[in-house]
Amino acid sequence: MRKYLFLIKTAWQRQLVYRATVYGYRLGNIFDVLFQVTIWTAVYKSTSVVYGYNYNEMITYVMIGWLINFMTANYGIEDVVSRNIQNGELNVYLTRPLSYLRSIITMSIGRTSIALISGVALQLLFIFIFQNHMVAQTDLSIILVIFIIVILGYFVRLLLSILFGLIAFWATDVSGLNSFFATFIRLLSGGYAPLSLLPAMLYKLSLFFPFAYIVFFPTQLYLGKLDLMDGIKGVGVELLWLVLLYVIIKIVWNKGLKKYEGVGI
Amino acid sequence: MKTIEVKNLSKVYEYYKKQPGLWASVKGLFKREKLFTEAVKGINFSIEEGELVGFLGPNGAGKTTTLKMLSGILYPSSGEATVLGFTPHKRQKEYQKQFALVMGQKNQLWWDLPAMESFILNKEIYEVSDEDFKKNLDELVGLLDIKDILDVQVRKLSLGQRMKCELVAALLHKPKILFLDEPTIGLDVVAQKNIRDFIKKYNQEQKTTIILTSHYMDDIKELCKRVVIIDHGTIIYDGALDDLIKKYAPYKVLNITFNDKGVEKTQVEKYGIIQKYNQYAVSIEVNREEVKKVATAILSSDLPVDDIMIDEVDIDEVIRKIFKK
Repeated sequence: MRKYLFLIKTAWQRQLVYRATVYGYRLGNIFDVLFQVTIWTAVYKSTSVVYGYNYNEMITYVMIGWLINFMTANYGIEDVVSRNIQNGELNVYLTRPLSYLRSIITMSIGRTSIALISGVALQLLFIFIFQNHMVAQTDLSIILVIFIIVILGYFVRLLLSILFGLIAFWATDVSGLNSFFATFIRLLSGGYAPLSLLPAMLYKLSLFFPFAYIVFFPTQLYLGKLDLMDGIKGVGVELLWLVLLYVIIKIVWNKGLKKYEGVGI
Repeated sequence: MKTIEVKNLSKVYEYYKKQPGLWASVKGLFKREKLFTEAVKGINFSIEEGELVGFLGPNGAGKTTTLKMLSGILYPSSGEATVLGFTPHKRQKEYQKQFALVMGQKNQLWWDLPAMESFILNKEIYEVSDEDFKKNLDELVGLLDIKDILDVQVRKLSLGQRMKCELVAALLHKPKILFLDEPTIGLDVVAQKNIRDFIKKYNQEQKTTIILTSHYMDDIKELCKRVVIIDHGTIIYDGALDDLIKKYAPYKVLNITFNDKGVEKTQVEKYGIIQKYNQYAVSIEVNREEVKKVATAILSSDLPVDDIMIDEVDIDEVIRKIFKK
């Protein structure tokens, strides 16, 4: 266990080297947030309710949605995994007394922590600025459930990223796939707009998949559109997905590794 | 028990054939012709504790594939390898803690951090005690003379400095076996020599069993008493470096210098095959058994001999001849 803690520490130190990159990303995010606010403000000029959201609720969705997006982001672990496989860096892991999967999970915690702090800080500033246009959630039990869902969401997203990264065992160039993956996750998690905008059938369907629980679900809880009971159910669904994803990753990893090692040829 | 024991070890790679052209690429998405290539073909060898063995062979001969099988990265297609009593591809921790693999073209150091951070991480990964870590580090840093670069970002180091740090990272846990895959590749002559000197000294002091692959004959000549030559996946020679010369070069070279007016080519042709000729210096290939006789004959002839030397054939040339066959 100790060695994995050191991996977090080392990854964290590495991240500190890249402060400038981190701020660069945040600068980009400022425009993302402002853009969404502008669009919705324009939409609400002609109507007062969109799919059951009034203006303040929508602004809250954007603000809290981004906050959660920052908290669950892993900034392209799928790229790290696929690079490790393709450049043969995996060899280093395979020859050392260290599990690759556990390493990549712990390393990403170290890797994302700095970005997380700066992203959350920036978003809290936004929330402070827009507080008059936002809905407040004061129920502590709801906030606690949201918090648990967000932490689980981080790991759901992380495992999904790792799973996608593992495709590199079979495909020679995955950069295109990875960029599709990032957009796909963001869309299905409700990162662009509330999933309630989807046709009812699709919306119901989306709740069976892990994506919705990353951004959309906790934001709905915050808005009070879902109650505590729903929240606890959500935690259950996420936990199930985490187990399932872990099992799938294990299977894919073992298959991929067999190909990598050239077993049975 | 032998430290490394390899029996009938083979490795077959699978790959796909692709015809040139765009249309062929599109077709390739649906149907591909699977081909196999045998990178290592049933090789046998064993290595004793503390030996420093050189693996020699052209690109694609199977050297790296063999090392990868010994370090557990690749699964052998058939045959078996036993290292320190372990089966490498099972990747047991107890085995992994006792060997290290250094690849000249890959690095295990964290690129963006000073090498020291990677060392500390390796200390944890290999569960080295504080005491041993300090002792080993001081020793290695002293031997390689890199005290002043430990706190510099790895990306800012020269290739030679980086290789030294790679070696430190690999040796901190005092492995019993060290696999070195082209450790001097791309280095300048001075850096090559530094690395070589270090490997030699380390092998002598620590009795670490080392397998070294290299393209550079100098590495092998300087370091290895025993050499294993691999070509097209098979071992074509396994034995002492000195014997290799005797086996593949059944002749020696007489280097004779002349004074006065020198000699005509026709005057020396009868002694053997002329390798190099000019008026004052001639190199002649002569069979090993006859070399003394011929030398005496030349000295007692009326040629204006100034000096005569009997030399072994250059090892590089021997190797080149072997691979040409």
